[in-house]
Amino acid sequence: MTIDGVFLKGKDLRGVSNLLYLYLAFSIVKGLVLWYQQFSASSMVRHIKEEIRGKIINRIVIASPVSLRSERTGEFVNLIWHGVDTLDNYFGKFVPSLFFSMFIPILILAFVFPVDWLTGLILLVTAPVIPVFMHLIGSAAEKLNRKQWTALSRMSAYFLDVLQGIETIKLFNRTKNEIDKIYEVTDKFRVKTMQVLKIAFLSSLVLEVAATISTAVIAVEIGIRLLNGGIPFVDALFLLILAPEFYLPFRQLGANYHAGMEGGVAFERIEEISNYPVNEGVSSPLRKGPYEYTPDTPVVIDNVSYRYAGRDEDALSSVSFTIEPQKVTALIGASGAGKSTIFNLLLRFVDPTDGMVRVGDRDILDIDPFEWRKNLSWLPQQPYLFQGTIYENIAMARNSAKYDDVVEAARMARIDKFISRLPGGYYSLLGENASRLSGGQAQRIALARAFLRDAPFVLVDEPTQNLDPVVEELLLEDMKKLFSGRTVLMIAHKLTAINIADIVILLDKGKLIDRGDRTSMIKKISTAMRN
Amino acid sequence: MKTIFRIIALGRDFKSWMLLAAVMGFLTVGSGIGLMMTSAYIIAKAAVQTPISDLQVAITGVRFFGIVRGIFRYLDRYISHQVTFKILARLRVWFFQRLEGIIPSKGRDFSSGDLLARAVNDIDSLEHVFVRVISPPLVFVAVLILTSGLLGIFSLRYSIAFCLVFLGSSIILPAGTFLISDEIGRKIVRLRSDLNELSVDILQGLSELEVFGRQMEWKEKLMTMQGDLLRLEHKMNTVQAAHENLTGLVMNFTIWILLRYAIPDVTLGTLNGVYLSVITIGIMASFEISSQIPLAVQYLGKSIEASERLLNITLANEAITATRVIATTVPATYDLSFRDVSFSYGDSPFKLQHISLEVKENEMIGIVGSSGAGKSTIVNLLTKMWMCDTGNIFLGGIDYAHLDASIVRSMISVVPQTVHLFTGTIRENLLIAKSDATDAELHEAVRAAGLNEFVESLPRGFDTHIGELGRTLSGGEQKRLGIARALLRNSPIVIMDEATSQLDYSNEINILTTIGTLRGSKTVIFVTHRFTRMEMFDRIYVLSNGKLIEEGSHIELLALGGSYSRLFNSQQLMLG
Repeated sequence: MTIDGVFLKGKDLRGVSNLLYLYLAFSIVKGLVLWYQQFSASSMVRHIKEEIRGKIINRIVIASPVSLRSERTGEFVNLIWHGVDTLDNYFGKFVPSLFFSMFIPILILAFVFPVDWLTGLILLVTAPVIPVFMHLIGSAAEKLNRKQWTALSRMSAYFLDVLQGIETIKLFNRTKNEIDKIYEVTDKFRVKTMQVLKIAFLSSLVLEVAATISTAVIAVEIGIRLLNGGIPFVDALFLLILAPEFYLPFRQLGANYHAGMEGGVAFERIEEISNYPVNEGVSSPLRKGPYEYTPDTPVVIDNVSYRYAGRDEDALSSVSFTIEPQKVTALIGASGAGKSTIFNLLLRFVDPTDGMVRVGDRDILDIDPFEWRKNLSWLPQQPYLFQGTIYENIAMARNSAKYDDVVEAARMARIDKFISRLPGGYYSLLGENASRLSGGQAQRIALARAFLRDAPFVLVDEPTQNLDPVVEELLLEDMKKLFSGRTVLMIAHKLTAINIADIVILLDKGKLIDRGDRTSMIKKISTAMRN
Repeated sequence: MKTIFRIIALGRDFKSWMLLAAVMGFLTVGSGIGLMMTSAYIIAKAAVQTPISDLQVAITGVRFFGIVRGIFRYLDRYISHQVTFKILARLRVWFFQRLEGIIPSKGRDFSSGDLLARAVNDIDSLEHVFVRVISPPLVFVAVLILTSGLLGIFSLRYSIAFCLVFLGSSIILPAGTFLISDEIGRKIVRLRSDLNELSVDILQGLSELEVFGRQMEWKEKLMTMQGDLLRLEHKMNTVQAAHENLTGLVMNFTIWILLRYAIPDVTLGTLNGVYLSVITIGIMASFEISSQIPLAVQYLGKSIEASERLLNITLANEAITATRVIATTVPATYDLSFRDVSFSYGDSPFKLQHISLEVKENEMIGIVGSSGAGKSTIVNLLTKMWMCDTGNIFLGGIDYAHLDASIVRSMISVVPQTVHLFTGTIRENLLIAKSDATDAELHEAVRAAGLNEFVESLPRGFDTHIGELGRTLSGGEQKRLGIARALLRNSPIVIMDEATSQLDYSNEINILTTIGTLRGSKTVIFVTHRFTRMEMFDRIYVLSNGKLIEEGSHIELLALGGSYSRLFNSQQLMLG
């Protein structure tokens, strides 16, 4: 650029070709420098993102599943991926331009003032107008931005929900309604986004116009003085070139302001997740240290109450009983009786609101939950099967499980024949949520896990649901093997399952109603049924 | 490449809007060129001490271009984004429709985490096709014509030189970048989808992971994959930055070449020195559009991958629609019959073989058999979720092949083995079955399913949120909500697939009593492996390994002394 000026003044001939080459050399250097700058900015952003994602995921994997239960997976996934990506622009564009907008104008002013104080003054007066104006827009935009983020999250969550339930939608002939709803949700997202973008675009328009007008004022002011000979040409040119540069950082800040806000909102949500409780309930400091449960230790539920967040009634109120070592204790009662809550307590997904769970003499809260769980084997009512092979899904229950162990566990769960009939055998892939397996088969895969786990304390939720009587009978025989020498707590609905229990505990609406040995309790139940 | 055009075709209704956006884009760059050229003109003129009156036109020009550029840019961005989002909404609906057509038959090959990635991410990345990929090249051509035209005023040589370099650089550079970044872009799209899947798995299977102490392992898996993703993204950024700066370099090179042409002209006096800076700056302004090309190239790779993935599903769908023969006939009766029906799920070893059965209107039918016998498969065929391979299924005497699936489903309510509940309230989940149901109907349905006490115990009643997949409810509650939903629909045929499997005895009896009240007013098909109150069924079909082995009433089957009686007796025995 300056080279141009030199040209005009001197109107030189080929003598300037050196300068031309210099110009070329400079542009190469400039390119390299800029490239390096972008390169290092990108690698910085990469590390920041890695760290933030790590932080979120770290938190999620130790959070209580009970507190995550009311969250929407789709929203979470959106936050972890898309949300963190918005930090790209936040750190890559917004933060640098914030920095430049403070730094560069001052630098330019420092150059301008010695040359021409009048121009300097104009710059100084017009500059603050821009940030003030931006702040005004900003506060309105931020609110909209938050709404847009909510709309985006809802959209993601809504999609996952609809896609997972697509069969149900078909069965109920709701396709048309869903299409309308998708359109509605997406359109809401469009409207919200456009509101935000309109402000972002408008603010950059205003900034641009403001910068243009200010530059024009300076150009006129300089031009007039130049005509009067009040200012040397070199100075005038210098000022005219610098004037737009002075406003440029502000304009860039305006253009990146939107990105900055978007990142800011995602940031808030990330902070929220970082505060998820590890255990729902009365929070206690997490104890560290190994723990080993030996199956001669009774586990005592001592006057325990628990209330889920947002519920009006206790899920458990002042329940006391002992889970005897090496015995099978069955929990029975209608749904809502509190059976699952007792499981959640023992799994350390929740901690008592009141009362205490004791393992031997020790308060369960004094044991590191992750260490405690190493002593547990668990068969949930609705087992989750992961993407991957059947083999992986069973083997996950025990560290360094060998192939033979897995096959043996599958045999014990009476699913080995089914597996070996599949084209891929144990290495057959399961679709999400085991879509290719029947309910009973999925249940038995989970049972194989429990067998493989080989832990001293066993929690079993309705082991034989979805099974036909013949398999059920065989399975109960095998379960007796699994249970022997172990402490077992079992949720049972069916008499067949109660038949293998030693002690039966009847709960109703969060209260303990009755307890006794198997024979006496079965008698009571059958009498109750007959009535 | 072909795939991307099919996606673009979805936006054809917005053609004129997209064109308008491109015109605005061109006007933005154009007024930028005007702005810069007139400013340079003023400065150069001022340098030779021209009277200010001579510059009046140019000064006004500067202001005009300056303000107009801002407005055009605003309009460009506004219109293009508005159009893009409208097209995106259309894309989502289109995707859902396609998907709906193939679930469950083929769709089950794609897991839902992956589908989410497709639906949300892939469609979002197609946003860039409309704003960042299609428009810049159009604007580019317009700018090329404008600038070379302007340069042509001075000398044809300038415009030819400019054209060659500008065009050459904007084809060669992007082509080079595309070659490098295309594969990276595709990998990024794929990796993102895998990461989505894994995240869904972790979030939904968190309980298992924590109990089995696997959470850290899975976290590591996720972190490794995301490390790969970040590495690729970084690579992409680096390539893109290189492209951007090379563009800058080419711009300077172009100026350099033109100066080499123009300087001798000035010396010879064929060109007024004033225009030297005008030309230089005009070229710089023209390159504004070139700076958008690197991004366009980056998004092109991603968009192609995204559109291919979306179309994979479409193609699968086309194969199915081709075999669909639709008549709008509505069956007059609700008699169902299977004639020699055989079926298998593609790769699975399971086969349903030569099944024939009859279900007359308002009959109560039981279907029993051990798990894996084919009970649920029969339900899938009855609801036309799958089509049988050979044989025929009739509803009211009309072959399923000639019946629209929606007609079949409007007559059948199903309680599936796994009840899927949607995020939302109890009410919303019920209304899926009947959107205009009155409160009284809701109460009645919930009462029939034995869920009334539970709902009444909730402080917010029907408006209680049940969380994702209804996970805040117990298994039995979910099941009963599913039953309530099916009953609310009030269709002539009710199918219950293991409807009582997660219920305790008293609830099971409740449901069976409710079913008993449907006698004479509805056809009931009850799939079960629990032999409770079997005498209520008019006929029971016994399945084993995909074959129908026995049929008859409870009494008849017991008398037969076959498989059914063995199963029944062993269950009675265990009940003690």
